[in-house]
Amino acid sequence: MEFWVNQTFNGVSYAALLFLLGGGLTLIFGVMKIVNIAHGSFYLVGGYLGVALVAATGNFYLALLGAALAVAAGGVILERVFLRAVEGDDLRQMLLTMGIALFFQDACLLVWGGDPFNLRGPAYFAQSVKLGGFTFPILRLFMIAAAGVLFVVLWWFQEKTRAGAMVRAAIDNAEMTEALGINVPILKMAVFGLGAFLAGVAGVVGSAFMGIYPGLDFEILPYAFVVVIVGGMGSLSGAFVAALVLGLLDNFGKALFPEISYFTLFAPMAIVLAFRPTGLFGRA
Amino acid sequence: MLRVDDVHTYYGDSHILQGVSLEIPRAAIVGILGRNGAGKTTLVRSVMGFTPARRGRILFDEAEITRLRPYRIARLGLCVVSQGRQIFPSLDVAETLAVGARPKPDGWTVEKVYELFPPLRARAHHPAGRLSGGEQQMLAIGRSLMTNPSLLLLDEPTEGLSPLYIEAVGHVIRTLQQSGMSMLLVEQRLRFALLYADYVHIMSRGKIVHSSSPQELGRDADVRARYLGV
Repeated sequence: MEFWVNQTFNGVSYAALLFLLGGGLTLIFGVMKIVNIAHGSFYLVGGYLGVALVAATGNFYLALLGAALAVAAGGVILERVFLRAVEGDDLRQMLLTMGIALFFQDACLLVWGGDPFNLRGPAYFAQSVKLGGFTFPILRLFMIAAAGVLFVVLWWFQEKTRAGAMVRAAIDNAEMTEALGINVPILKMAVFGLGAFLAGVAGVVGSAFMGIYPGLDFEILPYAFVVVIVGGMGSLSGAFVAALVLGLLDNFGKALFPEISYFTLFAPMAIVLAFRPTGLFGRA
Repeated sequence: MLRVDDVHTYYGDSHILQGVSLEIPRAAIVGILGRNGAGKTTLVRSVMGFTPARRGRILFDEAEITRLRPYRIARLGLCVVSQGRQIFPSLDVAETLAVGARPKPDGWTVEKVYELFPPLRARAHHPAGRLSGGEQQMLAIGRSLMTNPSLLLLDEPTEGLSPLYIEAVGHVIRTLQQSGMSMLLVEQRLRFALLYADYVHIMSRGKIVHSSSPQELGRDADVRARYLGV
């Protein structure tokens, strides 16, 4: 019993991180129709900025917000200055994000060096809550809460507000959306910024969870892709469900069959692709 | 109200529109006929700014819109009902009507659109993708009306519709014209265009090859056979 409760809890908290990582990527893909190779860089820069801001302010939550907002601002600038310049050419836009990723890989190495960092959260992150005979680490509870709150807020925005309807319309058909007089360029910029913000949050939270080091940007990118592909490109609910399924599968896979741990994450993707090429919640 | 002046439009290297000129007076319906691939949809796309003209000028109410972004063109009072309807599957009917609404005094409201298209009212909270073809066409027209345009570009609005819906679309076109709206009506159906247009142009290979009143074209079997195959 304890094994199942603990592994489920661990799986859900891992899913929370996967959602923060993949949720932003799927929004960016949905509206801009490009695969953002620089998404791992947003995570990495967010993590390093988080470490620096915790050191400077001593407040984890301030650092979380500051780092995520800085990454979001950076994303907005990148979209406006670089991606806009080759608008309408998906392949060039994707290659550009690749270039951006390589640039930040080196820039981070230059600024923060090659040693790994641990992001120190509040002291109580190291403690646990005991409930009905089971122990739940507070850091993991925080990860779940952060992802849960962000999902609910984003879902409400997308489904219940007019601006959210504009985003969905642009995901469905950007051209027709713009023909209604909706400023789609601004919408794209905002969504790119929002996606970067989520990756920044993931970077800070992830760094508190498992540290941060050079190369992590390209290490976590495939995980973000898996979430997006299984959930369906552009679907926030899809990313949420996919993250949950993958987090649980991966955790139980690692606990029960440690020798095939990589398989447990990527096999579901292959199966989903075989039967539903557009993902669980995707549209053709 | 709209003046298209010697417009040349390309897709990559292919020269699609090869010097198209036409005018749409206020409250007039100008019909564009022609076979598939004649450049009719490209003309609509050039006016709306989707595929801007590389040469020539497009003026709307005396203001040059040739290379403006589509959303800027739309805000001047132009809207399109695209070929294939281009419905948003993720939005329901009510959301679709609200998403691009630009209210104007005495302008179109959701209530007025439902009065014009009663079947949409019952479907207000259905996903737009689940509507029938005819209902989707009503929604596509209603969605454009909510932006309160003074010029509407209709790209094959009767395509794939049953005779009943074709008649309904025709009725709506009449109603809109009486309210003072101008329209560019791209059609494959000769009879429909002749019935509703005040003036017709025939396009072939990216050029306008015939312009006349619909009555004249109705009498000119030679032109019809040469360019339309009917």
